[in-house]
Amino acid sequence: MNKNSNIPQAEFETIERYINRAMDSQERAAFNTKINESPMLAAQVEEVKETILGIESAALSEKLDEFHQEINPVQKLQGQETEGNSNNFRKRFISIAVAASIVLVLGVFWYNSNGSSSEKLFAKHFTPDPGLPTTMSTTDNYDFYEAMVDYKTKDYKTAIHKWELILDEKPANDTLNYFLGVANLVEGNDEKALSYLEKAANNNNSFLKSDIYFYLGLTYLKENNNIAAKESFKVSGSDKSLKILSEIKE
Amino acid sequence: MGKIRQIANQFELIAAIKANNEDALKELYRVNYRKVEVFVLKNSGSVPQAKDVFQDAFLAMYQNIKADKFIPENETALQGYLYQISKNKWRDVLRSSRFKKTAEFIDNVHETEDISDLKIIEETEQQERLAATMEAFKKLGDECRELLTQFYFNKKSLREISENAKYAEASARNKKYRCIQKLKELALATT
Repeated sequence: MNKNSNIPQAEFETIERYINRAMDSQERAAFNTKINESPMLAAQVEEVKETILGIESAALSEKLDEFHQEINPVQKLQGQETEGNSNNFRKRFISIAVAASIVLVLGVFWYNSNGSSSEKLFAKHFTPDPGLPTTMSTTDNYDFYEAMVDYKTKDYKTAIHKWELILDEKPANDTLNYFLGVANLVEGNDEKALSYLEKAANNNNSFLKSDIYFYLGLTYLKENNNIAAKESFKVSGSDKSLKILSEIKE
Repeated sequence: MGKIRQIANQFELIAAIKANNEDALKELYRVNYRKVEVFVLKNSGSVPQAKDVFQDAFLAMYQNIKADKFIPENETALQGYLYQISKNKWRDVLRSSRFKKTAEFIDNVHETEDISDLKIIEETEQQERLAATMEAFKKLGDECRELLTQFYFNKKSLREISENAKYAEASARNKKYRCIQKLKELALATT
């Protein structure tokens, strides 16, 4: 392509009419002959085609985020974010694809409704663990990671179901119990969440200890058990935990 | 919706895409995203990465269809094609320097492409020019972007466009040309 050539307007529009099949058969035939005889004209035609394709692609590209919104969400919560919001607000939520953002929206709504202060605190701070990286090429723990994929695509029920099956073989496993706890918490199964998290917490040397106690604290908060919540956050000691600790009013 | 089910066969679908039929494009996007998301997540990726890869692949598929580079061979050829492009793009991401550890993705992914070097170079250059045009488009003013989108993507006539815009039909033609010149200028500036 000759980058320095500037196709004049009249010529450009003629080429366009040719490309768009807006010429009658006679004119078209004549133009075809011209193209065959002139490599430069042929090149210009290609250039115009390419420019048009670039414009169409750019236009389509701008619509893709809109298309993405039409994808049926796994959680019903996504319906709430499209009500009367500006484009920026919607786009921001689409760009944060982790489950956490959806629960945050839920949290804001909860915060504005009449919940106890502990429940509000829970809602304000709860975001599910983003999950472990999944590489399906590892053959050991395949089932665990397969369920992790479900977890990451927000299909918590399936993830829970699959992990429960593995639990029979490894009832005391901290990672398993931890994620079962968090997933159940997202699903609102507080009692189950509590029992799984407490089991996970029995592993004193778990590298997940800080996270386990963080989520334990959150679960206790949700249950309005501030004393147990505070204890858990203290044991956790993470920044997030300490922050919440400072916000518990009693 | 389900308009895609009304499209009897691949050729009709392809014709619809060539005509920039938004309903067909939207449905194609909607129906095929999840499978790609699962693939990316199973291969060390995240949901945002899945979305990026899918959108890149979608545009690549679109451009190939427009350029008549895709010929369907069976009932689900287009969907399979889109999935294949998505997978290839994700593998490319993994093979880049940031992912040195994932050596599982071997280099024989592209071994079936038996084309000459020259053709590869030409196609790469064209890809780069298209990418430059697309980047430049974003930098155009709202009026130009709107005009060019309506005319080239939505296939509206200059009269229709000028009816909804601030300028008269007579100036629409000149405006269109100037917008394109501006677009080319911007595209050259970035390369």
